[in-house]
Amino acid sequence: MKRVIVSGLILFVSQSIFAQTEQSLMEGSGKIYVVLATVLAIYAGILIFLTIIERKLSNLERQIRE
Amino acid sequence: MLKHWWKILGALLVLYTLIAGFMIPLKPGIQEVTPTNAQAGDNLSLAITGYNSHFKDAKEIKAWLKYDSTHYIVGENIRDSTQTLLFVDFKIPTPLPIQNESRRMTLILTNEVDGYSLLPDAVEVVPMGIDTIMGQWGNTIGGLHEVKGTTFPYRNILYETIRNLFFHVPLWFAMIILFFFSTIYGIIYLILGNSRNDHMVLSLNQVGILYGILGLVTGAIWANWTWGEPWSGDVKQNMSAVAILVYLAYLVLRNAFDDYEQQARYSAVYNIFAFVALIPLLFVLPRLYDSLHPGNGGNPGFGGEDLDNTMRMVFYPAIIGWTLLGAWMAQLARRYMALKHAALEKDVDF
Repeated sequence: MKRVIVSGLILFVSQSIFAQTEQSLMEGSGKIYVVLATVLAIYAGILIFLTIIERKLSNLERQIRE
Repeated sequence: MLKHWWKILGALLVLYTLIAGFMIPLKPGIQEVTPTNAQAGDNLSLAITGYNSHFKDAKEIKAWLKYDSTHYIVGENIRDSTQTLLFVDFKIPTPLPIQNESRRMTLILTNEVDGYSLLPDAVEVVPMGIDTIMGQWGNTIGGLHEVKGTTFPYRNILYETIRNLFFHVPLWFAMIILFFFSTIYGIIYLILGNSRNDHMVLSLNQVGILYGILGLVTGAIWANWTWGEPWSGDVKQNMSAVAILVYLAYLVLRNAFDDYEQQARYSAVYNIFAFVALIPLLFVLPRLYDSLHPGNGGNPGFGGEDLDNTMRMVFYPAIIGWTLLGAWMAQLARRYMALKHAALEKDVDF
């Protein structure tokens, strides 16, 4: 649940940051920021995957310890 | 350390992809011209906006407007204003070679610094009723400059986003490779048993699904600023979304059984069918319909124009790098599964 809230928050913040300058930023400089956004999306995806494994492992560790 | 060589290799290849993919510049090209239409008989003064061009540095700039393969107009009075802005005059002769037919002419520009570049359909010329003979048609062009250098191809509309080829496309290639190995391990599990093989299938599928979803997301980002909308219902977009759903169903199916043996066995069988469905979804169906993706609608996959040798030098390492990185993530997931499985067998209370 916490994860959903956090990722929703990140999405909202990035949306509002981009909202005003979105057109000029993404269309300008030869659209290089589209590539940056793509790479950041992949980075975020990998981080989410790692976080999920991290949490599962922590749970397992706790259960084994108990 | 030695047994982790492939993880290091994967990380290095992805790092190389990121650095080379961002640092290598685009080939100079023509971004736009104004005006975009003219009348036969005009003395057209064309403002040419270049991309990554060096008009001020260049000594010998030449320009032509191409009507067809035997009719060219030579540009005169070439004035550079900045590195990326150039003015060229074209005296458009009248009558046009094919009378009463308007046509979009291709602009050809060459100089010794940037090499030559084209802008197809740059200027639309419409015929004029009266024949005032001025200017001349040339029937050949010559002296195009070939400049060798490490650059990525310049494409209008795409511009720098051509670099997404190293980030969006390898995700799909890596996904298919991961799913292929998960199918192999599924078959091995069905023959030999052993929960390790089942965990291989599950973990590879998890990472494959992650890559698939990331492929859809990165594709939507790329499409939004090149095709105009994130999801245009393109056949390849739809089919890859279906493919992801097929594999998501694998995860759902696993949870449908309580008994582990049953769970592993049934899902391994389903996994084979999922891979069999993947091939037509990604490789056959998109080819039967018109698609915005290159390599579909009957076109060959990677034409020489879309993927030149410089891009290959980054693209292929990118596929290997993302695949190895995915295998690493899958290994972490599998080791977690093995731990949990072992804990379950020793009757640790969950």
